[in-house]
Amino acid sequence: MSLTRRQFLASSAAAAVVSALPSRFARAQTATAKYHRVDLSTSQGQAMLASYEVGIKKMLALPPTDGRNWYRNAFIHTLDCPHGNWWFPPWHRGYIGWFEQTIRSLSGNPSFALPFWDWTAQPFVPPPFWQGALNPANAAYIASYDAFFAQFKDPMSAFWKSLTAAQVAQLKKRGYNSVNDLWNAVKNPPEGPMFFPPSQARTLTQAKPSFDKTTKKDVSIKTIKAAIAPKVFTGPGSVGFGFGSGIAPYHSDTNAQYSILEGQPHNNVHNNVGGFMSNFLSPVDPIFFMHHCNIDRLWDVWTRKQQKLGLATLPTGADLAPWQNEPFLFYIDATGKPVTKNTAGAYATIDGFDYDYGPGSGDAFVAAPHPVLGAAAALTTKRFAGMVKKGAADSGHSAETLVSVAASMLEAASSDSGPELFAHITVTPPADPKGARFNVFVNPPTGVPGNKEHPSFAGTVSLFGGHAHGKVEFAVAISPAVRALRAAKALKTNEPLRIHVLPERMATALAAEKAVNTSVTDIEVGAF
Amino acid sequence: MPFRTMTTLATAALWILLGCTPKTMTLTLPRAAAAGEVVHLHLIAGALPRGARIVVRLPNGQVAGTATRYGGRTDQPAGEYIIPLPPEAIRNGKVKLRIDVEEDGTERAPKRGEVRKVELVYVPVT
Repeated sequence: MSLTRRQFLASSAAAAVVSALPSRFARAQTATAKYHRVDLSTSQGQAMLASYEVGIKKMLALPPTDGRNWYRNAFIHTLDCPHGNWWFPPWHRGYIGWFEQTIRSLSGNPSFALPFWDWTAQPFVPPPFWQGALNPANAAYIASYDAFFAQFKDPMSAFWKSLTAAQVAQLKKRGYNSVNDLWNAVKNPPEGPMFFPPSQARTLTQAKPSFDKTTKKDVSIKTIKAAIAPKVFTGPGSVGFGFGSGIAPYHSDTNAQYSILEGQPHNNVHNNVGGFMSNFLSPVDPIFFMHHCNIDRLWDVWTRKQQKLGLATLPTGADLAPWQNEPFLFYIDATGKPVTKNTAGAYATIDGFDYDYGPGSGDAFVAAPHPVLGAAAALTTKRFAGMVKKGAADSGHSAETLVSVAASMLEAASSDSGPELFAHITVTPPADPKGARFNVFVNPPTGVPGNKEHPSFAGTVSLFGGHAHGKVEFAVAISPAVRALRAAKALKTNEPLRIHVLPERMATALAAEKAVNTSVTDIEVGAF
Repeated sequence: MPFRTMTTLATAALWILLGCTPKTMTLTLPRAAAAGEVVHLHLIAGALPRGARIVVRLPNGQVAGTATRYGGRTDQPAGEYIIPLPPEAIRNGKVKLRIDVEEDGTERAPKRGEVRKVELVYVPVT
């Protein structure tokens, strides 16, 4: 059962929350990100491609000793990209997100955002990518492997010597024990070749730019629908039955288990475009970033679908921590320096790069609005799924969940003018719900359950309107508690929020049972 | 390889392919998909030449999906794939498939070890 707003009665601090919901939802409808990634075939997308080409030329002109050099940037992918496992989505989100900032900086366009290649609508290499520096066969690119090796041998050796022990350890897992192993992989089978002369820079040609029939099927709307359909991020066992490919022990693991999204459209587009795109030096082809922008967009489509259905958007339970904590150590920022956001969890949402997506294929598969949160849930993308650490609760014993909210979001919500954060909580209510109510706390002190005078107290929600059957959902504003905790120096924005739900029975419910056994089954934190 | 048709026995919707891969096969579902489930194909591929792909088709010739690696070593297995099956692929609890390998623009029968396992799986969906 899902409660309508009439069916739950707020008391205490939550009263203001419920009355404030409509205006918060209305605000969400007008909220937008700072940067907008749009279809490259639109006029806005074409304008972005013009800036993109300016940035590419600047990166090509940078010396090979500069980590932002076009080829050096492509080597980040060669050295570190995960494929066929559950880190495929977040790693590429981080990679193209940092790259986008570099192009924004070098192109001189402060509004630059990567346009996406909606290959479902355009199953061919778009015309601009046969022109100028958007074409890897252009004279701006290095013409032979020998010339490439001559220019980059010494800079890559110097780069290798600068690696940290943790980076070296990751590369060894990938089979690269020295920089010579890398060069061998770039040049020779069975891993190579990865470098291609202009005549082989792509398999598709300007005269015949369309995908083959099989690849068209793999990017078709039917396949995209199937890719968006999985109910979980990570499927049961180790096989990629979920959205995000299979579980692996580390992100460079080569025992690939492809989800539909990665195995079908992703792999086939790479291979059908061919040339550089067919192997791990693929970011040499400028279309790589539009391809992966579309993959990232479809992850966002899936995430919004999950949010609207009230389902988890990330791995759950014991799977969440190892997924979030996997180190990504090779990204660089727009100045060429290593980034500080170096775990997969930092790229679980799109908030860190502050972008959103324009319309594209697959949007229609986002389900109907959530029955409780309605239009607000349908519009926001800023939702964070929690992990239920202890679901069972009774009087004096709270349920505990951990919710990893982006640090940037918590910092923003800590200010009086920042976004309002709500906890969307799903519970299995007591058998007799009469007089039952739920007190919600954020990061409460240990050993002091139910202290409503403490800054951690967020509010109370009471059941109203008779028996509850099945699950009950409610939303509680937690921003006041977050701000109070911040003021009390009791909030660490880089740590998950501990959200406690403590049930109790109101004394006026004379006929009710004394026990108030409840179970928290799901929780999300969102901004509205 | 001669053209062969093979049918699974009993209720196991699974082929473990120790030898040559049949070009066509019939997989039997142990049960109908429940509400909130769809039936997809789980295919485990062996080593494949660079650029080659395993193409799975339905009896009407429609491509269901492919298994093709991106990058990696061609002397190692190409990985596991989930290939979506349309509802019409299931008839009377059975799924008939044809499997080919496409290499350098031409199709051929799979070589020994290129297709290691094929099974039907139930995937929870929304």
